[in-house]
Amino acid sequence: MPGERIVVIGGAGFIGKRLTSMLAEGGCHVVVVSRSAGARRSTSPRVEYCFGSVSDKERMLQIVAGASVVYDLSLGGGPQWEDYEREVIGGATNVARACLEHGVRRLIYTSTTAALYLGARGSVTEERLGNEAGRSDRGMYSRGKSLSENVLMELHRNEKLPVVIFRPAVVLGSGGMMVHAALGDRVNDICILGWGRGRTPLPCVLVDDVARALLLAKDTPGIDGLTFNLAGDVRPTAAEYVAAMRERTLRNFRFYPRSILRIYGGELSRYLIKEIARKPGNSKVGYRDFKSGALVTQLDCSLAKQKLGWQPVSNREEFFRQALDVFVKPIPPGDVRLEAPD
Amino acid sequence: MGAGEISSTHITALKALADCVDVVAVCDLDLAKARAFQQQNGIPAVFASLGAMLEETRPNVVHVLLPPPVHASASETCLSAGSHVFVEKPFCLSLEECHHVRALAKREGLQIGVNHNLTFMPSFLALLDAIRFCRLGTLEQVQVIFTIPMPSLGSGPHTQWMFSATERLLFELGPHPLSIPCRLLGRVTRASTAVSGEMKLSNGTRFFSNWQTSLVCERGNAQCTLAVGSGYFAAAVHVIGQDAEALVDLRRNTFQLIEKTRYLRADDMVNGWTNAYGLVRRSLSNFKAYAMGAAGLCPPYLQQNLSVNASIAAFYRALAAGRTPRIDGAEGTAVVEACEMVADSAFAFLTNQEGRVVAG
Repeated sequence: MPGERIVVIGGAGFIGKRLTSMLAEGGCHVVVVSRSAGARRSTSPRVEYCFGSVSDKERMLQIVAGASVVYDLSLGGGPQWEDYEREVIGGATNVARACLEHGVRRLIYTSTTAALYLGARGSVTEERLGNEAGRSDRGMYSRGKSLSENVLMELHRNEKLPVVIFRPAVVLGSGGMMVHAALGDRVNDICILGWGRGRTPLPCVLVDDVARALLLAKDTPGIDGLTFNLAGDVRPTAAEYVAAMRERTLRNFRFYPRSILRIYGGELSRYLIKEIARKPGNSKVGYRDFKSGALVTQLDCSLAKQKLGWQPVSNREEFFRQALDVFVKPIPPGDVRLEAPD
Repeated sequence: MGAGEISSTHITALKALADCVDVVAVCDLDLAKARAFQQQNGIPAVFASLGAMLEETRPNVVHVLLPPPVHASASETCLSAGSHVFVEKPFCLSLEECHHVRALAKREGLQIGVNHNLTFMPSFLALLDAIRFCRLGTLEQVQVIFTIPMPSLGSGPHTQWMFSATERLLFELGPHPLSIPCRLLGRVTRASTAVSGEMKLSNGTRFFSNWQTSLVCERGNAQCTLAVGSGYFAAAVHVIGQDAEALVDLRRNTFQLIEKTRYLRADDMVNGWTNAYGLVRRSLSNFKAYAMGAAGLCPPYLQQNLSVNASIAAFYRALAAGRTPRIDGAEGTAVVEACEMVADSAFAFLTNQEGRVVAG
């Protein structure tokens, strides 16, 4: 509703920026909360920036006061598990508690598909997909986000927290990176070592589509307690995506397929060498994490379409235009790369 | 048109195109020279007048192999008579001349080809292929070094056209190095030049043997060195792109590509091995061609012939296909424009150095 006060925690980030501008365009008064927003000046009278960290309980209580809807897009984390406990799980709890305290109409929390296991073949819906909270063989980010989801859902069940959770998958587009980590390991800016063979469709989604889904969730009734996976309708494989980057930039982007087992073998060897050398901070990453990184599981996102009326971009050309062309400098006429061979 | 030194290189190239090209006449003001050339190459007709040759033989194409000052007028005569022209570098001597000739060709629906032969060296063509296959990404920097020994510079006599005024060396030899940045990066929009190695020639001309110029082109930056009378012949191009760098040795006809690889810290080793293999293979192939030429088993191996053959063949391929040649009047004009800009900036450099106006 126009004029309502909306708090966007992490509103200066990749998805947050798009969401903030959509909310402002819709007439809302947006309070962007960020750890780096202290010196930022708003270019819109409807957007106000303020400093704040989700790990600061008192600050969250202050900021959330008077808001009708709160978006928590904070990322958090660090090198130690304690960082995740404090910033990811603790942060989500602090925001949720502040929302309960001030009677916020809805808390919209962005988790991640990294909270899921996506290493098994087949297609799954949100209902059939439990998160990875209990898995010690997953990375800290995955477990941190999974546990945050669980905390929020528990508060929903026990204290009627009006929460909606979104798990955006591989988010692409303006403000992000052209070469997303989901494509593989970047050896340099053009050589990408795949997570797997690069033949399975990636759950890509455009940042504008994610922001639109989050926007729709603000006023859609009857969705409290639901979790939505967000992957778009255009899902190129990693190899196709790299080929599209090459075609559009006329740069020498190359994709090198690798088996997950081989990647894990390399990682395990590195771990063992560091272990023998007694290098501090050495942590073992589970095979499950690597398997899940291949993003083999196909996400069925029909729930978001049914409940929210969400319509992600389904035209392949339009998808690549939004995902890639924003990073591409136009090739000037006369460039040798545009010539047909003699 | 013209039976001078370069005409033998052209005739060699034309003989290689015998299935689609008939050489019908040779013309030179020096009729004796023209006759000798005619007999040596089995050409049906010989003329001392361009007009007579055009009228009697009605050629499809005329190769304009005359001294630079008459490139424009000879080309115009040929185009007016309905012949396509293939002009030795430099295309013309001023932008104005270039525009006139091109406008005439356009009116007559005829094609102009310009012999920027270095851009047809097989090693340079390999570079162009690598660029087209996106191996280098966007080109960012081009460096060209063109240094040649010139015994006649020290000893004289300095009767050749290029010795008759300071900037003429640039129009005579400058198109070799300058055609490369123009081909790769487009027109030159700005030039800054330093000249050195000053000497006074026997004809009184103030001469500079070293020309170093920085160029801003439409699509990147370039640096060119032109030096004559040096002890060593070098013709090399170094191209830096976003994703790789290339080294083209035009003298040895070798090409190296050093690119980002998937091997991270082993990049240098992988590139080293790949290029070492290519260099050895190319060098052996060059030597084999030289040895076979020396033994009379095939035409003599001359680097210049390789590029001129390819340049002329490309021109005739374009004519046969009904398309504009790659090195056409526009490209020829771009190089003449670059020569003019380099000359102007060199005189500006001298003016600045000497505190008085120096002009060509």
